[in-house]
Amino acid sequence: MASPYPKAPKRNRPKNLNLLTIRLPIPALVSIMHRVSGAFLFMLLPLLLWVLHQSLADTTAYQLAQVFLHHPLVKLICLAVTWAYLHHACAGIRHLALDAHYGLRLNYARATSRAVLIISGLLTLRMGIWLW
Amino acid sequence: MVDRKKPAHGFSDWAWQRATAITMVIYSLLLAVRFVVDAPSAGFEGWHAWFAPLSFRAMTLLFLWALIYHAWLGVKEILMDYVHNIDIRAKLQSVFGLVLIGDAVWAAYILWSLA
Repeated sequence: MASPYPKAPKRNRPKNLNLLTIRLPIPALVSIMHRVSGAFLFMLLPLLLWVLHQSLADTTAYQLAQVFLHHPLVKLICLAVTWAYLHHACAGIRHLALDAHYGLRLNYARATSRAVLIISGLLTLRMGIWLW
Repeated sequence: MVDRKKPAHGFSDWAWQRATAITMVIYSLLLAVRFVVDAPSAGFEGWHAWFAPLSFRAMTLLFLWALIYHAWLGVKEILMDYVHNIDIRAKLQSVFGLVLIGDAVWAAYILWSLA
Protein backbone atom coordinates (compact mmCIF):
# COMPACT_ATOMS: atom_id res chain seq x y z
CA MET A 1 0.00 0.00 0.00
CA ALA A 2 1.30 3.45 -0.84
CA SER A 3 2.00 5.93 1.94
CA PRO A 4 -1.12 8.00 2.73
CA TYR A 5 1.05 10.98 3.64
CA PRO A 6 1.82 13.68 1.07
CA LYS A 7 5.44 13.78 -0.07
CA ALA A 8 7.51 16.52 1.50
CA PRO A 9 8.73 19.06 -1.06
CA LYS A 10 12.38 18.57 -2.00
CA ARG A 11 14.65 21.34 -0.82
CA ASN A 12 18.37 21.61 -0.55
CA ARG A 13 18.63 21.71 3.17
CA PRO A 14 21.92 21.11 4.95
CA LYS A 15 22.03 17.69 6.59
CA ASN A 16 24.13 16.42 9.44
CA LEU A 17 23.37 12.82 10.18
CA ASN A 18 26.85 11.74 11.25
CA LEU A 19 26.13 10.17 14.62
CA LEU A 20 29.72 10.65 15.70
CA THR A 21 29.65 14.42 15.30
CA ILE A 22 26.15 15.11 16.65
CA ARG A 23 26.41 16.39 20.18
CA LEU A 24 23.13 15.68 21.94
CA PRO A 25 21.86 18.01 24.63
CA ILE A 26 21.54 16.04 27.87
CA PRO A 27 17.70 15.84 27.84
CA ALA A 28 17.92 14.41 24.31
CA LEU A 29 20.51 11.89 25.50
CA VAL A 30 18.19 10.74 28.31
CA SER A 31 15.33 10.58 25.80
CA ILE A 32 17.12 8.31 23.32
CA MET A 33 18.47 6.16 26.17
CA HIS A 34 14.88 5.81 27.39
CA ARG A 35 13.93 4.38 24.00
CA VAL A 36 16.99 2.15 23.66
CA SER A 37 16.60 0.75 27.18
CA GLY A 38 12.92 0.04 26.52
CA ALA A 39 13.67 -1.82 23.29
CA PHE A 40 16.44 -3.76 25.08
CA LEU A 41 14.09 -4.80 27.90
CA PHE A 42 11.49 -5.92 25.35
CA MET A 43 14.08 -8.12 23.64
CA LEU A 44 15.31 -9.66 26.89
CA LEU A 45 11.84 -10.30 28.35
CA PRO A 46 11.62 -13.93 27.09
CA LEU A 47 15.00 -14.67 28.72
CA LEU A 48 13.83 -13.19 32.03
CA LEU A 49 10.61 -15.21 31.90
CA TRP A 50 12.67 -18.32 31.19
CA VAL A 51 14.82 -17.73 34.26
CA LEU A 52 11.72 -17.13 36.41
CA HIS A 53 10.13 -20.29 35.01
CA GLN A 54 13.21 -22.43 35.70
CA SER A 55 13.70 -20.99 39.18
CA LEU A 56 10.14 -21.91 40.19
CA ALA A 57 9.62 -25.20 38.34
CA ASP A 58 11.50 -27.74 40.50
CA THR A 59 14.79 -28.27 42.34
CA THR A 60 16.75 -29.41 39.28
CA ALA A 61 15.55 -26.51 37.14
CA TYR A 62 16.27 -24.14 40.04
CA GLN A 63 19.86 -25.36 40.18
CA LEU A 64 20.16 -25.01 36.41
CA ALA A 65 18.95 -21.42 36.65
CA GLN A 66 21.43 -20.79 39.45
CA VAL A 67 24.37 -22.13 37.42
CA PHE A 68 23.18 -20.05 34.46
CA LEU A 69 22.95 -16.88 36.57
CA HIS A 70 26.42 -17.40 38.02
CA HIS A 71 28.11 -17.33 34.63
CA PRO A 72 30.13 -14.06 34.41
CA LEU A 73 28.64 -13.13 31.04
CA VAL A 74 25.09 -13.71 32.30
CA LYS A 75 25.88 -11.60 35.36
CA LEU A 76 26.93 -8.82 33.02
CA ILE A 77 23.65 -9.16 31.12
CA CYS A 78 21.78 -9.05 34.46
CA LEU A 79 23.56 -5.82 35.27
CA ALA A 80 22.67 -4.40 31.84
CA VAL A 81 19.02 -5.38 32.36
CA THR A 82 19.07 -3.80 35.83
CA TRP A 83 20.53 -0.61 34.45
CA ALA A 84 18.05 -0.54 31.56
CA TYR A 85 15.13 -1.05 33.96
CA LEU A 86 16.31 1.60 36.40
CA HIS A 87 17.13 4.12 33.71
CA HIS A 88 13.80 3.52 31.99
CA ALA A 89 11.93 3.86 35.29
CA CYS A 90 13.73 7.04 36.37
CA ALA A 91 13.39 8.65 32.94
CA GLY A 92 9.74 7.56 32.93
CA ILE A 93 9.06 9.19 36.30
CA ARG A 94 10.69 12.36 34.94
CA HIS A 95 8.34 12.08 31.96
CA LEU A 96 5.31 11.90 34.26
CA ALA A 97 6.51 15.07 35.98
CA LEU A 98 6.84 16.77 32.60
CA ASP A 99 3.29 15.61 31.74
CA ALA A 100 2.13 17.43 34.88
CA HIS A 101 4.10 20.51 33.74
CA TYR A 102 6.76 20.19 36.39
CA GLY A 103 10.34 20.92 35.34
CA LEU A 104 9.60 22.31 31.90
CA ARG A 105 12.10 25.18 32.14
CA LEU A 106 15.36 24.45 30.33
CA ASN A 107 17.60 24.58 33.38
CA TYR A 108 15.27 22.24 35.29
CA ALA A 109 14.99 19.93 32.28
CA ARG A 110 18.79 19.69 32.21
CA ALA A 111 19.09 19.20 35.96
CA THR A 112 16.45 16.45 36.08
CA SER A 113 18.06 14.70 33.09
CA ARG A 114 21.37 14.70 34.93
CA ALA A 115 19.57 13.43 38.04
CA VAL A 116 18.07 10.54 36.04
CA LEU A 117 21.53 9.51 34.83
CA ILE A 118 23.11 9.82 38.29
CA ILE A 119 20.33 8.14 40.30
CA SER A 120 19.89 5.21 37.90
CA GLY A 121 23.69 4.87 37.71
CA LEU A 122 24.08 4.77 41.50
CA LEU A 123 21.21 2.30 41.94
CA THR A 124 22.76 0.07 39.25
CA LEU A 125 26.11 0.27 41.05
CA ARG A 126 24.39 -0.79 44.26
CA MET A 127 22.78 -3.74 42.48
CA GLY A 128 26.13 -4.61 40.89
CA ILE A 129 27.80 -4.77 44.31
CA TRP A 130 24.99 -7.02 45.48
CA LEU A 131 25.36 -9.25 42.39
CA TRP A 132 29.12 -9.79 42.81
CA MET B 1 -16.37 -0.71 9.78
CA VAL B 2 -14.41 2.08 11.38
CA ASP B 3 -16.55 4.38 13.49
CA ARG B 4 -15.37 7.85 12.52
CA LYS B 5 -17.33 9.50 15.32
CA LYS B 6 -15.15 7.87 17.95
CA PRO B 7 -11.90 9.64 18.76
CA ALA B 8 -8.67 8.06 17.50
CA HIS B 9 -6.65 5.78 19.75
CA GLY B 10 -3.90 8.29 20.49
CA PHE B 11 -5.20 9.37 23.86
CA SER B 12 -6.04 5.94 25.20
CA ASP B 13 -2.56 4.68 24.22
CA TRP B 14 -1.05 7.66 26.00
CA ALA B 15 -3.17 7.07 29.10
CA TRP B 16 -2.53 3.30 29.19
CA GLN B 17 1.21 3.85 28.82
CA ARG B 18 1.12 6.00 31.98
CA ALA B 19 -1.27 3.74 33.90
CA THR B 20 0.89 0.66 33.26
CA ALA B 21 4.04 2.65 34.11
CA ILE B 22 2.63 3.71 37.49
CA THR B 23 1.56 0.10 38.18
CA MET B 24 5.12 -1.05 37.54
CA VAL B 25 6.70 1.64 39.73
CA ILE B 26 4.40 0.73 42.65
CA TYR B 27 5.09 -3.00 42.24
CA SER B 28 8.85 -2.43 42.00
CA LEU B 29 8.87 -0.46 45.24
CA LEU B 30 6.72 -3.06 47.04
CA LEU B 31 9.00 -5.83 45.74
CA ALA B 32 12.09 -4.02 46.99
CA VAL B 33 10.45 -3.52 50.41
CA ARG B 34 9.46 -7.17 50.59
CA PHE B 35 13.01 -8.24 49.71
CA VAL B 36 14.30 -6.21 52.64
CA VAL B 37 11.73 -7.04 55.33
CA ASP B 38 10.83 -10.57 54.24
CA ALA B 39 13.75 -11.95 52.23
CA PRO B 40 13.22 -15.44 50.75
CA SER B 41 15.15 -18.16 52.57
CA ALA B 42 17.94 -19.84 50.62
CA GLY B 43 17.37 -22.61 48.11
CA PHE B 44 14.50 -23.75 45.95
CA GLU B 45 12.12 -24.40 48.86
CA GLY B 46 12.45 -20.88 50.23
CA TRP B 47 12.12 -19.28 46.80
CA HIS B 48 9.10 -21.42 45.95
CA ALA B 49 7.45 -20.60 49.28
CA TRP B 50 8.09 -16.90 48.66
CA PHE B 51 5.80 -17.14 45.63
CA ALA B 52 3.12 -19.15 47.45
CA PRO B 53 0.84 -16.32 48.68
CA LEU B 54 -1.95 -15.73 46.18
CA SER B 55 -1.74 -11.95 46.67
CA PHE B 56 1.94 -11.93 45.68
CA ARG B 57 1.35 -14.08 42.62
CA ALA B 58 -1.61 -11.93 41.57
CA MET B 59 0.42 -8.73 41.96
CA THR B 60 3.36 -10.23 40.09
CA LEU B 61 1.10 -11.27 37.22
CA LEU B 62 -0.51 -7.83 37.17
CA PHE B 63 2.99 -6.32 37.00
CA LEU B 64 4.07 -8.62 34.16
CA TRP B 65 0.90 -7.95 32.17
CA ALA B 66 1.28 -4.20 32.72
CA LEU B 67 4.89 -4.51 31.54
CA ILE B 68 3.87 -6.50 28.46
CA TYR B 69 1.12 -4.06 27.47
CA HIS B 70 3.50 -1.14 28.10
CA ALA B 71 6.05 -2.88 25.85
CA TRP B 72 3.41 -3.31 23.15
CA LEU B 73 2.67 0.44 23.15
CA GLY B 74 6.40 1.19 23.03
CA VAL B 75 7.04 -1.27 20.22
CA LYS B 76 4.23 0.29 18.15
CA GLU B 77 5.66 3.77 18.74
CA ILE B 78 9.19 2.76 17.75
CA LEU B 79 7.96 0.98 14.60
CA MET B 80 5.86 4.02 13.66
CA ASP B 81 8.95 6.21 13.91
CA TYR B 82 11.41 4.06 11.97
CA VAL B 83 9.48 1.76 9.62
CA HIS B 84 7.70 3.92 7.09
CA ASN B 85 6.55 1.18 4.71
CA ILE B 86 3.08 0.36 6.01
CA ASP B 87 3.10 -3.27 4.83
CA ILE B 88 6.38 -4.08 6.51
CA ARG B 89 5.32 -2.20 9.63
CA ALA B 90 2.05 -4.14 9.84
CA LYS B 91 3.95 -7.42 9.53
CA LEU B 92 6.51 -6.47 12.17
CA GLN B 93 3.72 -5.32 14.48
CA SER B 94 1.98 -8.68 14.09
CA VAL B 95 5.18 -10.60 14.83
CA PHE B 96 6.04 -8.53 17.92
CA GLY B 97 2.40 -8.59 19.02
CA LEU B 98 2.33 -12.39 18.86
CA VAL B 99 5.61 -12.57 20.80
CA LEU B 100 4.09 -10.37 23.52
CA ILE B 101 0.86 -12.41 23.65
CA GLY B 102 3.07 -15.47 24.05
CA ASP B 103 4.96 -13.72 26.88
CA ALA B 104 1.65 -12.87 28.58
CA VAL B 105 0.35 -16.44 28.44
CA TRP B 106 3.72 -17.78 29.58
CA ALA B 107 3.78 -15.38 32.56
CA ALA B 108 0.35 -16.60 33.67
CA TYR B 109 1.42 -20.22 33.23
CA ILE B 110 4.62 -19.74 35.27
CA LEU B 111 2.80 -18.14 38.19
CA TRP B 112 -0.25 -20.39 38.21
CA SER B 113 1.38 -23.76 37.46
CA LEU B 114 3.19 -23.67 40.80
CA ALA B 115 0.01 -23.54 42.90
